[in-house]
Amino acid sequence: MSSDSERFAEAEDGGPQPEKHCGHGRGGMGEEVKRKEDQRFITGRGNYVDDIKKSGMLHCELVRSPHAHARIEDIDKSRALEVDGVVAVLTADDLLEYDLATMPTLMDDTQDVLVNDKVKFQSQEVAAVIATDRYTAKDGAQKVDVDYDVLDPVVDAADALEDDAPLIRDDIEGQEDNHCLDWETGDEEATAEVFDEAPVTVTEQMLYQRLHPAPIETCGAVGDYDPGKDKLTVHMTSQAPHIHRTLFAQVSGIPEHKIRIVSPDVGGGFGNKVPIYPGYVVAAAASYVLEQPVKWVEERSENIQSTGFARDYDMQGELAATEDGEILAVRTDVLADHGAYNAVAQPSKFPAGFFNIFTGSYDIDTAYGTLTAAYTNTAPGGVAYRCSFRVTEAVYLIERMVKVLADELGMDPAEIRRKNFIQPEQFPYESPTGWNYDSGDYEKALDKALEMADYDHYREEQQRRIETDADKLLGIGISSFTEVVGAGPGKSCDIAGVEMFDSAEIRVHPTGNATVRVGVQTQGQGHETTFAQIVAEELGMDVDDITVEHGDTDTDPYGLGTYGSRSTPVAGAAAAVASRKVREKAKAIAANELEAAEEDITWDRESGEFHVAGAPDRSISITEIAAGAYMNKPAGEDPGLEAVNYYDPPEMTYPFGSYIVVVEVDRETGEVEFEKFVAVDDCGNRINPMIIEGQIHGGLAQGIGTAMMEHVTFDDNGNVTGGDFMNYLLPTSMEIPNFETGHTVTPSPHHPIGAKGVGESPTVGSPPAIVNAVVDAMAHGGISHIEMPMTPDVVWEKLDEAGLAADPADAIALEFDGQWSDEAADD
Amino acid sequence: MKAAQFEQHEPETVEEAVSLLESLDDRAILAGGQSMVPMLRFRLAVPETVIDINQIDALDYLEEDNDWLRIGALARHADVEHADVIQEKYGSFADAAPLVADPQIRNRGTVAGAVAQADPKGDWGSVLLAHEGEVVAHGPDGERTIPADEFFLLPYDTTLDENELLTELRVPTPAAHEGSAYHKLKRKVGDYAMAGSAARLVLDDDGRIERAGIGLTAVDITNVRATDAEDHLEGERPGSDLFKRAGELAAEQSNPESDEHGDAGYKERMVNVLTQRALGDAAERAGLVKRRVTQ
Amino acid sequence: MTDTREITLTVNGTEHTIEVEPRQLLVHAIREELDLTGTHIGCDTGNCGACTVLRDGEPIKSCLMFATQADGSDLMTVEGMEDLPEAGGELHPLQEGFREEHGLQCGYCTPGMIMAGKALLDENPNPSEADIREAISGNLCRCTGYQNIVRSIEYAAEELEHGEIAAADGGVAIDADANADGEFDCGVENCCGGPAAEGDGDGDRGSDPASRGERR
Repeated sequence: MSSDSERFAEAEDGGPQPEKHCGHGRGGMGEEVKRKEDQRFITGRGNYVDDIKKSGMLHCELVRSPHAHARIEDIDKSRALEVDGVVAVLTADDLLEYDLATMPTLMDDTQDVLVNDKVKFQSQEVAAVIATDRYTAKDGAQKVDVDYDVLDPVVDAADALEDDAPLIRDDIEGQEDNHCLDWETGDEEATAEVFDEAPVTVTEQMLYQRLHPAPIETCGAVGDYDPGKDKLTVHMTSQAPHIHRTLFAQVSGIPEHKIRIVSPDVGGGFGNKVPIYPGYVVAAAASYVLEQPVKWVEERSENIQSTGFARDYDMQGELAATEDGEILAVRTDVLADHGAYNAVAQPSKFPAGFFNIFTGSYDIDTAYGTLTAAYTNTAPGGVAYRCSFRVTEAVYLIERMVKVLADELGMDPAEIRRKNFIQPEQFPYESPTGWNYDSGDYEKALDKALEMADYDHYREEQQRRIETDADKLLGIGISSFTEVVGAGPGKSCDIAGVEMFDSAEIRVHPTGNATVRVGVQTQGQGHETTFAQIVAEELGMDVDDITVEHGDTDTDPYGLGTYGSRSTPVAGAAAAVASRKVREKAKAIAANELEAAEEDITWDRESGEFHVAGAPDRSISITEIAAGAYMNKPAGEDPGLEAVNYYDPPEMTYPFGSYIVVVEVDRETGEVEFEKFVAVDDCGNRINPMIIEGQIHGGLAQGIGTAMMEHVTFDDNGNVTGGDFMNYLLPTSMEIPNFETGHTVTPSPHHPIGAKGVGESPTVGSPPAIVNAVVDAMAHGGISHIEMPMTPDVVWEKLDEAGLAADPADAIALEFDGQWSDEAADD
Repeated sequence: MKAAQFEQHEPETVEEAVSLLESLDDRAILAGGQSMVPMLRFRLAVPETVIDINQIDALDYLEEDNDWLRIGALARHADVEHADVIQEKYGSFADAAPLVADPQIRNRGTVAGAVAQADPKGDWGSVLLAHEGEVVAHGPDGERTIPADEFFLLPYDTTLDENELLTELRVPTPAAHEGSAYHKLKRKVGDYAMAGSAARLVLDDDGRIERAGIGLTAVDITNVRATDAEDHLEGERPGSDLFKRAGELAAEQSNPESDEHGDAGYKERMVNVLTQRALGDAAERAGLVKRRVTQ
Repeated sequence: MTDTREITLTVNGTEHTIEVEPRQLLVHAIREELDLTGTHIGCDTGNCGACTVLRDGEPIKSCLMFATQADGSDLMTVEGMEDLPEAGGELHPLQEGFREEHGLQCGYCTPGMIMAGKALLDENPNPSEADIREAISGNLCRCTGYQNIVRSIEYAAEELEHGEIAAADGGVAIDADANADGEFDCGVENCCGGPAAEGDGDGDRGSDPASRGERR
C-alpha cells in the first residue's frame, strides 16, 4: 500500500539520515522521554481486564480435565445447576447449537472450545459454569460430574512418534500416528558434501526446553453483548485485537462490524496473548446467549497448564569447519513438540517460524535443516515467547555450536566469531536459507562488549582460578546474535490469511495537538510514548501534545498486533509515513499562511517549523498550520489535517548485538552466580534510549529465567508438574544481577526512520551466552554442553563428570584458639 | 482459585480453641495461613470449619527464660528474623529465618505453623531437631510436651493428637560454648529447599564436642536427625576432617528421592556439603575456634 | 445458604464496613467490594506479590489472607500513596521514582512493588541495593529485570531524605535532580554523544541517576 516514494517521502531529509536526528527538546527521536502511560499505573488507575466491572456481570469458571488423555463418556450438569447463583452450565453440546464448538488455531488446525468427545491434554476445557460471582462459579464447576474413560497419555515428542504410541488425533481423518509435520530448509546434498570433506566437524544435541511466557497478568475476557445494538464487545487480554476480531467473526458468523474487541491495559504478553483461547470464546458466547456481560479470568495454574507454551525444540546441531576455525556449513535436525493441536503462533507460511535463520551472524555458505513435529498430550502452543517466531531456538543452536567448535579447536570464542562474521560491506546480505539481512556491523558490537566486559582480565582470572584449584570456577560466555523482526512483508507473512502490515492514523486538531491511533497494541512496551515521539519528531510537535491510542477495533486502524518485535519496524514506520503525509499537506497550508509559493517552503527538523527558503524568520509551526487547516484553508485544499498509513514493510529488520556473561560456578554445590553481564545491542536508530534499556533489562532477566530455572515439566501420567508459580520458577530480584548495557547504531536502510525492533533481542540473545559461560567454566574438564535450565543439580552433575566437584572440607579450615595444648589441631 | 465455603471460628483463648477442636469434626486450623490459604483456595483442603487462632493473643510471643527459647504459636517468621536474642545467640534460627519464603510471607507465616504442617521440605523442623527442641501442645487433657525427635511421622503428619493445638516451640538456651547454623540450597527465592542442614555444637571447656545436633531438610519423608554424624562428632574436637566424615555420615543416613528439586544422588551429596558448611559455622560460633582465611 | 460477616476495614484512612463470606480473600474484598483495583492478582500460590498491601504498616500478600482476618485492620493500597504527606498533594516520591527511573513497563506488578518499597523505606530510609533487592524479592516482575525498580526505590529514598532535610531547614523540598548536569545521548550515531561521537567503550548509562539525560 505504501510505495517507496511514500516511504522515503522525506526526500529533502534524504530518508533515514541519522545525523539529522537529534534531540530537539520536544521529545522527538532519541530523547529519554518519561513514559506517558506511567501516571495511571503508578497511581493504581490502570484498567486491566479483571478491573472491568459491569452491571449484571456474570462470572465464568471453566471445568478442566484432570487427565491428559481421556474420552468423555458423560457430563452431568444437574448438581452444578442446583447451586444457588449458578446461571448456566455449558458443554460442547451447547456450543454445537451455536456452531461454536470448535475454533481454528493460528495454524488452521481445529481445536475444541469445550471438549467434544476426547480430552487431549491435562487442564483442557471441558465445561463452563456461569454464575453470579466467581466463588459460586467455582462451586458450580466442582459439581459438574464428568465421567472420563482414561486413556494412556504420551507427553514426550519422541515417545509420541513410537509405533505403539497411543493415537492422539483420531479426530483428523486419515491420521494414523502422532506425526504432525515435516519441514526442511537449505541444500541437503551440498551440505552433506561439505561435511564429508571438512577437516573438522562437531555435533551437539540440545533441548530448548518447554517454557511459558507467564506474564504476571493471566489471560481473561469480559464478553458484553448489547442486544439493543446487536453488538458484541469483548474486552480481552489481546496482543492482536484486530486479527482476533476477524477470527471471532469467522468462528461465530457474527458480522465483523458487529464485533468490537477492546484490549485494555494488558499486564504483559510476551506471545502468550497472541492466540485465541477457549475462555475468550466461552465468555463471548455466554454473553451472547445470556445477554449479560460475562467475565472469565484465568488462574495462574490454568494459564501455565493450558495456554500457549513456547520452545520445546530438541535440536541436533552440527558444524563443519576448517582447522583454523572457518565455518563451512551448518546442519540441524529438530524434533518439535507441538502439543495436542498444531497451534504454533507463526505466520502461516512458516510452520517452523523463522528457524531457518540458524546461520546467525556468520557468513556460512552452506546450510541444511530438517524438522519433525509431533502431537503430544500436552497443551497446544509454540508461541513466539518474546521473540520472532523460533528465532530464539535458531540463535541458541548457532551460538552454542560456535562455542562447541571454539572449544574443539582450542580457539578463543571471540576470535572464532570475528573470523566468521558477515562483514559490514556484505550487507544487504542474503543467507543460504534465503534471508535478506538489512544491515549490521557485528564486530563493532562484539568489540564494544569485550571492552565493557574487561574480557582479557576475566580470561586471566579464569586461568588463575584453574591453576590455584579455587573453590569457584569462572566462566565467560559470549553470544553474538542476529534477530529478524518486523513481519511482514505481507506477500510472505500472514496470520490466518491476513497479510502482516500495520497502520497509523494521525489527526491534528484545530488547536494544534494530535491524536494518533495505531494498529498494534502495547503490553508494556511504551507505545504511548514512542509512537508519540516518532510523530513529534516528524511534525515538529511537542510530545506532550500527542496522545496515542490503541487496542480498540472500533476506533483504531486495522493492524496485526504486537509480537515478534514488529511494532516499531511496522507500525512505527506507518507512524512516520503518516506524519510525512500530514507534513506534505501542512506544507501547502504553510505556503498559504506565509504567502509564499509551496516550492519555496522548507521544513526545518531542528526547529520543527516550516519557513520560506532563504528567509528563516518567515516561519510557521505545526500549531499555527493546524489552525490554518481548519480556519483558513487554502483554496482548492480539503479541510482538516489528517493522514493514515498502512505500511507493508519491504523487508524485515535485523537487530543484533553481543552479550558477554561472566559467571562463578560453586564447585561444591553447582550454584551459578553472575559476576558480570554486558549487553551491547544495535537496533538501528533509537527512539527512546530509556525505554530501549528497560526492554533490554527485562529480556535479559527472562533469558536468565530460561537458562537457569524455567521449565514446564510433566510426569509420565501426563500431569503438569511445573504448572504454577511454586513449580514454574520465575526469577526474583535476588537472582537477577545488574546489567551493563551499551549500544552501537547501524540504521536499517529500508525503514523510514532507520529503526529496528529491539524488545526481544535480549531474550533471544542471552540464553546461549549464559550457557556458554557455564560450559566455559568447565571446558578445561572436557564439558561441551549443559542442558537448560541449569539448576544447581544439573551443573553439579557436570562438575562431577568433569572431575571438578569439590568438597567443602578443603575450605572449612578451622583453627583452635589456643586454649588447650594437649592435642594438635586436626588439620 | 476460590475456596469452598466454610464456617469460621475465631477463638480468643487456647482453651476455647481446644474445645472447638473437640466439638467439631471436619475442621482446619488457620494460623499464618501462608500454606493453608492456598490449600483452601485450590480446594485441596475443604473443611467445614476453619478455626482461625490469630486472635489468641497469649500465643504471640518469642521469649527467652533461663532454660528455654520459647516461640509461641503466633510468632511469625519475621519475628524470629528480627529478634535481637536470635541474632545474638541462635545462629541457626538467624540463618534459617531469612531463607524462608519471601518477606511478605515471613510477616504473616508462623514458625509453629510451619512445624505443625510437617512439610519435609520445611526449614524449621531441621532447626528444631538440631537443637533437640520440644513441641508444646494443648489438648483436652491439658498441656504436654513432645520432643522434636518424636514429633514428625510422615509428610504432613505428626504425633500431634487430633484435638491438640500446637502452642509453643522451644529449644534449650545455649550453653557457654555453643554455636549453631543452618545452610540451605534452593533454586530461587520462594522455592522450597533442594536440601538443607541445621547443625548445633556444644563444646566443653576443653574444646571437645559435648553435644552435637544435626537436622536435615528435604532428604527424607520428614525432617530428620543425622544421628550417625552426631555420634561421630561427640567427644572430638572440631576440624575439617572430622566434619568431612560427619558430612559423609549424614549423607549416608539421608534418604532423598529424585524429584523436581534434583536427583537423589545430588541431594545426598548436598547433605554432605551443607552439613560440613553448617558444622563449620556452628563451630566458629561456639567460640574457641576460628576460621583460617584461605585463598 | 451463605453466611456472611460484617467487617470493618480502614483503607487508606477511610473506614469501610462490608459484608463478606468467610472464604472471601482480602484481595477480592479490596478489589471488588471496595473497587480499589490498583491491587492486582497474578497467581494462586502466593508467589507473585502483585497483591501486596500494607496491613498495619507491614507488607502482606492480600491473596494469602481472608478478608475477615483483616477485620479492624488499617490497610494501605497504592491508591493511598498520593494522600500521604510526603506526596505533597501530588505523586509520592516512590511513584515519582518509578516513573523517573523507568521502574515499570506493563504496570501490573507496580502497585505491589510500590507497597513493598514503601514498607522498606518506612523501616529503613537509607537502604542499600541489597536491602532493596531483598525487600522486593517476594514480588515478581516479568518486564523490567528489577534493576530499574531498584533504582526507583533508591530515587525515592534520596527524594525523601532530601525532602526531610529541606523541611528541617524550613525550606521547600526541591527536586534532587533539578540541577543534574545531564549528559545527553540521543542514541543516534554521530549525534549528540551517540556512539561514534563518543568513541569509547562506556556503557549507556552509569548507575548514578544524575548522570542521565532527563526529560519529563
